[in-house]
Amino acid sequence: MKRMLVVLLLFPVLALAQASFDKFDGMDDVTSVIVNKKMFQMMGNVKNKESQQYLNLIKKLDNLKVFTTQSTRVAGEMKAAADKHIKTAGLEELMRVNDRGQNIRIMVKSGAGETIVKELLMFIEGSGKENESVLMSLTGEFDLNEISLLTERMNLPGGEQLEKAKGKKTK
Amino acid sequence: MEQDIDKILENYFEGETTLEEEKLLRTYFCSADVAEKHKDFIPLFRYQIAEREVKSARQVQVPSRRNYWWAAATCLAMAVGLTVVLNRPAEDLGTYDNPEEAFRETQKALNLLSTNVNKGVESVEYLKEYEETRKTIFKN
Repeated sequence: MKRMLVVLLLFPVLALAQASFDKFDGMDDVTSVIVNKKMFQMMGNVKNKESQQYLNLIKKLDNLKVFTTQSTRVAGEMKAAADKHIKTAGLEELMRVNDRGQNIRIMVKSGAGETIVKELLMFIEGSGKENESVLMSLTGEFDLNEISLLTERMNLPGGEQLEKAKGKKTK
Repeated sequence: MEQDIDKILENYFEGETTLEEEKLLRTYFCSADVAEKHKDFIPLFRYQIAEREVKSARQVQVPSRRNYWWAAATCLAMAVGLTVVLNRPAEDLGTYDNPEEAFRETQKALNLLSTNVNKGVESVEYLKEYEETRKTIFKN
């Protein structure tokens, strides 16, 4: 009976644990973008030539949250919340990039396949003039390669160089 | 006997009688030979006896152990219900009501993520490249 009570009390806590970043939504210094499953489904109707690639990926997404801030204090809170979430949700660090003073960390929870991801968390710690920190959480069941492909075809510096590297490799 | 009753009655009205004495008073007033001077009190004691006979028509149920299980089950059901209700906001649309706007923002976010993932992949590719170059150099 006692054990049952403990389970009963924990149940709502566990169920609500997912909402660990929701406190940033509506904060004064934070710009937030939250897109849920329902909206992802509705996006299916947006017809656009170049969007097909995105739509294929979007179908596999459940939830997207992006919180952007220029406040150092909020950035600190984001970092703490991210660290806490990494522990509770059991995320693994995928990569850590230091690019022009921006510290980027990407954490994932892997799914069935090697490149399949169930949950992804990206934290960009801003510094310098812009000092813009970004906390991004993405859930669903998607392929990391699909994410990578999105910018490869566009003329972004990262994609271009990657193409080059791949080209050389196959020589 | 009469003096006794007088004394007990006096105590009774002072509220100092024992349960035994009160019982004695009741039997006395129920009996046929009540002294003339005590007749005035007959209704009082007879009334008391009549009231004792009254029983509640309602049956009072003592909660059984089984009811606790029902209560526990109800609590569980409510907890489950509440969590479902509280988690429903996940079904909300989010920051945007317009799919096109939401799509643009999602696209932006995914691009940012993609660029950064590629930055990481790029360095891995770079390392591989370095490794291969190194091998060829050392071979020759």
